[in-house]
Amino acid sequence: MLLTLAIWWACIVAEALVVFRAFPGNLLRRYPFFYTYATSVLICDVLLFAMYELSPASYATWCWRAEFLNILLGCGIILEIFKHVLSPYPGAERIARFAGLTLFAAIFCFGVFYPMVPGALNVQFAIGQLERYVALERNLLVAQAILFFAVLAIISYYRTVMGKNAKGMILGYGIWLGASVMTLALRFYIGRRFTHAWNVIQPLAYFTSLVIWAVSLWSYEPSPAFDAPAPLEMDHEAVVATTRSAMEAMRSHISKVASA
Amino acid sequence: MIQLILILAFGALCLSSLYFLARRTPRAEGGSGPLVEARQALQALRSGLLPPELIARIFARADLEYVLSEVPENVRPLFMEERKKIALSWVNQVRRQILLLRRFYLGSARSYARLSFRTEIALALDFAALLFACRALQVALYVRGPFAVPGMVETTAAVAARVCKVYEESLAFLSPAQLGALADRSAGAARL
Repeated sequence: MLLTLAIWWACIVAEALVVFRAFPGNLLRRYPFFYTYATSVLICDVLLFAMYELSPASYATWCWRAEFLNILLGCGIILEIFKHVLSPYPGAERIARFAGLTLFAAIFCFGVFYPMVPGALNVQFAIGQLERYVALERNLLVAQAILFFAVLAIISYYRTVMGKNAKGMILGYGIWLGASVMTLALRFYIGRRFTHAWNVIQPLAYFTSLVIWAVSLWSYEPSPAFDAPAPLEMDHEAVVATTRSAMEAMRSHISKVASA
Repeated sequence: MIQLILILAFGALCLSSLYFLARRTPRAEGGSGPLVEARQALQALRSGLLPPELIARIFARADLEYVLSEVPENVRPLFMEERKKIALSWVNQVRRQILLLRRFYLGSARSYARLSFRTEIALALDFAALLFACRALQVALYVRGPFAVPGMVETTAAVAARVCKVYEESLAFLSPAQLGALADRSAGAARL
């Protein structure tokens, strides 16, 4: 309990540091979605701490409401990635946008049609209120993690360059997201026996993320300027065609050698 | 239980991908860098690394026959070992070409605003399949040795020349003047 409270306090201090460091470098204007999320988390944490001390009965309800609000605002970090990492690369951005929309549509369809499968919700109705919140939070975070991972894969595949600020945002949010998805899944599966471990691991992962954000967003460091290849813009169709024929040649080369 | 395993695996995948992202060097890649490198690598391949004569020499069956008939027995394993190393190194070169081609292609694609999702997926799968095929070939050479595949010399020599030719065509739009300008831009960017 003491450890959980200590981590909570440490998180509030780190959140305040992240938010207040935004003023000297004018980072609020540069990363509005990220700082909306960070400010919301800070305000929620301070209010929830006060509520925990003054009115523990209402704390649980408000805690989950704040959690869901912040999960929603956390999507802003993905928007920041689009804006600061992918926008200098129109091709990569287009693929990421298409992949994002496709994934969103797939997850939305799954959310709408899955409950129609006979027996799909039996488990959900059989469990208590807390477990239902845990399952809902886990599902929302898994959906967000799928989107986040797809964007990361596109960034890695196209080797887009990113600055210290964007890299820190991605690392911090990714650590929290990955750890949360895993601990929520374990909490749902193991049940209340896992609560103590959950109450330490998830805040600890969040604190790690805050430290990464505090360090990487200490000052403004944008992504390095990208020197777009002017001749390729008009020749891309030719590049696609010749790349394909080069690959065809190499494929036949390899298969001939392998089968010879 | 299956749901739990899937979610845990996915979470672990997310965290490990972050590790690789964190390790990535923050190199500012100019758009012209890969182009210049691709062109220079092509020149190096054509002139020094992959001429048909060199490949014919590496995989020459006559050498094996000579060693088997004329050379003392204790020298044969050494010869086989050395030839295997050279053959593996050759496949490695082909693999590097594919990686280079992919790098060059992605350098172009990421800046092209009208990119087709279907084409990108198809090419990504093709690249992955080719790289896998190279690895498989490396394993085959490692296990069976460089002379275990008859007819290898002719095929390798012929198609290696084709690969270089196609590369030449894919970079044909880069005239020597453009190449010089791009190289200067890349050098300038590197200095910065």
